[in-house]
Amino acid sequence: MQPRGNCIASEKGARVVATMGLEETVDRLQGVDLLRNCTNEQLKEVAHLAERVQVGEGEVLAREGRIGREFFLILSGSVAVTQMGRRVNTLGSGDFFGELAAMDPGPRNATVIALTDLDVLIIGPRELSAMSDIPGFRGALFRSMASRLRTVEARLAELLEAQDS
Amino acid sequence: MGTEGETSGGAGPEHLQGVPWFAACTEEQLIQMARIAERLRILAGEVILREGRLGRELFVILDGTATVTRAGRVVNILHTGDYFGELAAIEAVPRSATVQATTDLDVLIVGPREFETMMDIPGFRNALLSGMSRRIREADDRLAAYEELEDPAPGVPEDTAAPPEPLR
Repeated sequence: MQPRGNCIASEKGARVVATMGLEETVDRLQGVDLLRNCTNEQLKEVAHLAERVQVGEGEVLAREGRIGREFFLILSGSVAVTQMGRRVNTLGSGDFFGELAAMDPGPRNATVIALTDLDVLIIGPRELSAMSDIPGFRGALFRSMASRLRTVEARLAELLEAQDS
Repeated sequence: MGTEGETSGGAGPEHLQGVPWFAACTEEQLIQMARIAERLRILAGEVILREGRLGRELFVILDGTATVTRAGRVVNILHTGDYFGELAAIEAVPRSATVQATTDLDVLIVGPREFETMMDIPGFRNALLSGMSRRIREADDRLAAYEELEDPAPGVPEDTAAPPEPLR
């Protein structure tokens, strides 16, 4: 894979890992839940489409309100997700984020900061669209988004109900 | 399905052309979708899907208006060109809301098998993904606004109106 340079909205600048081979990345992808239904060939395709980057602890990968369209898949390390300064989630290996802005152009709805050094896969919106041609990946992505949508809408409904009573 | 709707035969691509959701689809893709989906007429007042029940169909409103409720509360009004039922189509879980026809409806109904076939059409798939992303974002924003109201950041004076009950 030819690294295309630093493409993330990181303030200190992330280091593109040029030394890691495709095979090594495919090995890493084998343990990722989101990709568990993909064949080895499909994982190779994913590794081709994505860029693998190492990000230092404390770096900001996405900032609430800013434009950014990359999708991130954490291979190792953990990140904090905050909204309006409030920690709303912590994500680790195998988790992903950035899919909302990748699918529907608009400002990031949360800030994501690396809590540790990260090994992360970065996928642009075009590449993500190409990846959703892979049935194993597509099914998992859709299910995860449907489940997230269901969860936030259920919480919202609970809040509205609590407000009424 | 628990409705008394009558099928009004197959859909033609002309029925899909006005649906904004399909705007990114080519003519050929619309023809393909029209072939695999079915058209149905539903009378005003009928319940098309019920919260908590199983059902895997996805519906696209070709004409008319429907009301979405959760626990008896109206959460959305859907119009011509809108769709519903996609969560259960994707995940095979109980319906998260009830949808009732407000007016007579002309709908496109897509079964789970047909849905899988339609997912192979990039225009459809991308439109579905961006629609879901938008909904997640909207719900997230509303949640964040509620939480802010409930627990304002330091230094922000509290509203004089009674704050809502602690919510969690």
